[in-house]
Amino acid sequence: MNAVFQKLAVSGIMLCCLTGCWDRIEINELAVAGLVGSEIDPQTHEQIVYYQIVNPGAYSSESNGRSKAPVYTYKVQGKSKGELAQLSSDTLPRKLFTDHYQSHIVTEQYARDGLRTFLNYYERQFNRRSSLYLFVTDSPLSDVMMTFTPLEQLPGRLLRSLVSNTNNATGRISLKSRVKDLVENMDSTTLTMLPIVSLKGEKPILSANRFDDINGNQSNLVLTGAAVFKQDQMIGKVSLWENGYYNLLKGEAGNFFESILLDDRVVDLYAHKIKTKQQLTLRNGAPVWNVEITAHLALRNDEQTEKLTWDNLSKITDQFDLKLMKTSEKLYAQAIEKKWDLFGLEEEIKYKRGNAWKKLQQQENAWAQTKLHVTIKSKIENIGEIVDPYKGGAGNGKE
Amino acid sequence: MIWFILFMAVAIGLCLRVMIRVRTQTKEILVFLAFVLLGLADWITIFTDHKFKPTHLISMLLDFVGL
Amino acid sequence: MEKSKLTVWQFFVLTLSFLIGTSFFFTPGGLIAAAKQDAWIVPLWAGTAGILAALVWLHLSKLHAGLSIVQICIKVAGRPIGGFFALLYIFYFIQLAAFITRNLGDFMKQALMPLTPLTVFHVMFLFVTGYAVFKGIETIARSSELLFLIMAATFIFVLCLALLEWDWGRFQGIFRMDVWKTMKETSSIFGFPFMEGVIFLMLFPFVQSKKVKSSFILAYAVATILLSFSTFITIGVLGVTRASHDTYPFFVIVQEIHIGTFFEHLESTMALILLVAIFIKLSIAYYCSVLGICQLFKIKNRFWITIALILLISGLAMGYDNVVENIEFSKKYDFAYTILYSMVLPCLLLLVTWIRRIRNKRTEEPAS
Repeated sequence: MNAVFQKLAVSGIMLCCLTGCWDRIEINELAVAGLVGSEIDPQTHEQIVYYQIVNPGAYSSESNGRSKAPVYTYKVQGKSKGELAQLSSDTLPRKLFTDHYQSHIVTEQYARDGLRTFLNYYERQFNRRSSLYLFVTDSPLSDVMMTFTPLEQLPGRLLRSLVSNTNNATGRISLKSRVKDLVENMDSTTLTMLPIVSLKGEKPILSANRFDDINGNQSNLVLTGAAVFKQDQMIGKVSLWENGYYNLLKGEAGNFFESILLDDRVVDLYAHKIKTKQQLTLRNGAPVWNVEITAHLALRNDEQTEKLTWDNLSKITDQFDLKLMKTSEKLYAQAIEKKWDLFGLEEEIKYKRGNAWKKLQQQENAWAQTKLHVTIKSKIENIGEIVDPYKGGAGNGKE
Repeated sequence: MIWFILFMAVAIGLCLRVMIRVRTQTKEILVFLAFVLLGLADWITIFTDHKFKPTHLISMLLDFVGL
Repeated sequence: MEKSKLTVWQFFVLTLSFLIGTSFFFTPGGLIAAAKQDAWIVPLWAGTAGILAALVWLHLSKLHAGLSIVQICIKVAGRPIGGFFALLYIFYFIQLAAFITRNLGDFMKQALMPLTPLTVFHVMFLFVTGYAVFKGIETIARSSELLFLIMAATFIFVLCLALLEWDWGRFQGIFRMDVWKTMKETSSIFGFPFMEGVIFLMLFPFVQSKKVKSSFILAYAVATILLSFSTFITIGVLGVTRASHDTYPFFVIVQEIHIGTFFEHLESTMALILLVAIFIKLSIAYYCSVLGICQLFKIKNRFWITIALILLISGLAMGYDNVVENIEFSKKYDFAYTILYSMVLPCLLLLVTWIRRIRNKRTEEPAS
């Protein structure tokens, strides 16, 4: 009896010391953030953060989950970033929990002023994950943060899905649009591209009745382009279409979509299994950036009236290769003109060995002399269900 | 700190009682006491906010020797 | 005194876990900050130096077969001076144990459980380790045999997932370091982890097999390669820029593993690996300090000393205010501090042993 009592006492004392007890968290005491947006007040230069808190009530079975807001947006304003998280306790009735949020949005103005302090603050937090997507918005942040999004009701998750969908469909947004990709280029001259998200329509609908409205497009969040960052500062923007080409050249696009014209008739092609090989070489003392792209094509739409033949298919691929080559060269020249080192050429030249490169290394902006040499090899793998298009009245020879 | 010292006093007292009852060597009791007192002294320095930092001591010694 | 035996494999696992256990987690960041893309080369030369040092220890132990470093000190330098040396070693082991304990506390508090007081981690962990220490080296060896496999399997699993982020482009600019300057800046790696292996001078007597030498050297070689490998992985997965700014780069790697949208937040697995590694390392350091005290004062039972040390180690572990202090100390003094114990004292002991042998021979010769 005595021995049993002793053992019980010892385990009792040990139990009191169990480390987990200090850090226990009740899920009902937490305000789980799904999306966070930050900007700087242009007048007072104070930091503003919007926390979009998931509303568990909307998902509980008791309330049927109908016509209730899935998220609530709280705005907190303060002098410094560290203060904001503390200040949130004045407005939030629950403890702010940011471990699981999915996306972060900053305003264009904030991005143009430089995100260094934000990135440092962010990377210092132990509960952060720098693998979340970072977005720039050109719409007013308060509107973006107060937008109810139908279908995918958590805007944070919606943005994440938009990135992966766009990447899948057209390769126009790279999956390397995360906070960590921006941080990785902090000490380098290579530029980073982050997606731009905009609010469609003038003003958001503030009520959850929005979910009963059939018009899905109305006041919703859409991707509209990509922001170009040099280190922590936004220096320009490009359209989604252009960004598709830049991703292709960088080797960050697994899929690609382009329409070509063949005898004034449209052919839509979807490229997948894209492989990119890049190499920087010297030709006659000038740097040449060789990019070799191979792709498998799927025919999505063909408005030609001829039947698909060997000949016709090779015409299509030739035209596709040519268009990609021409367009890449044009866009590459535009980037060079704007002094955008999108492909890390400056670094690559810096680390090249050999006497021939030494001369270039001593020159400033030698990378801007780099010529692009693209070769594209594509083959059509998938033509869809019909080989011979329906011609109707258009020249079937049976008249 | 009072609680800590009280707790330690009781704990040491209990340990000593057990040790004497099972006839531990005198030497062992002395070594035990020496280390417990060292530990206790260290903890008291922590409680009185004059933390003993072994690394400070080592770095001072090393600087003194000039390594 | 305890009459335990270790098999060669157990000894190998103990050495390897001791060397690689915490260092794979704590060293790559500092190395990458100093040597950039070439950081993975640094462990190679540090490990070579470690093997050389290991040869010295093995030789010393061979000259005094069956004796631990504490006993060697007393035998070679006599009770007063040797006793003092032995005491120095014991305090080194205690300090090492405190350092390891603090590593655990810092990591757990910063990364996983910010609200729990540091001391609670320390004391709870010391209780568990203390139990292992009280049970003896065979228990420690057997538990590490088991835990090592679990640790290695989890580690490889997590590593494979992390490799999805691999990019060879991050190695751009490799092989461009100034060797001498890098060596100076990263001198702490000689101390932690490689020279810390001097603690095994306490454990050599437990290995009966003659293969102790080869297994010890092999463990060093494997640890060197693994450390170099983990630094290599850190560069390839995390990139130099981020790795050199992070406190725990390996933790960040694991934190950011995403497989789709459902397989993420794996950092607890990493914490698990680290806890196991720290358990093995701490139990060795703790056991050696207890064993050293017992041998020095000729005490038969380890129980009370083990209990007494919990108080001292947990107190000493509080002797840092934050991680920065810890990092700064490692960077500036760790090399000189460990070299004293790992090279200076053993060499001195070797020298005295040789002198004594030569003198003994001379006195013996006329008699025969």
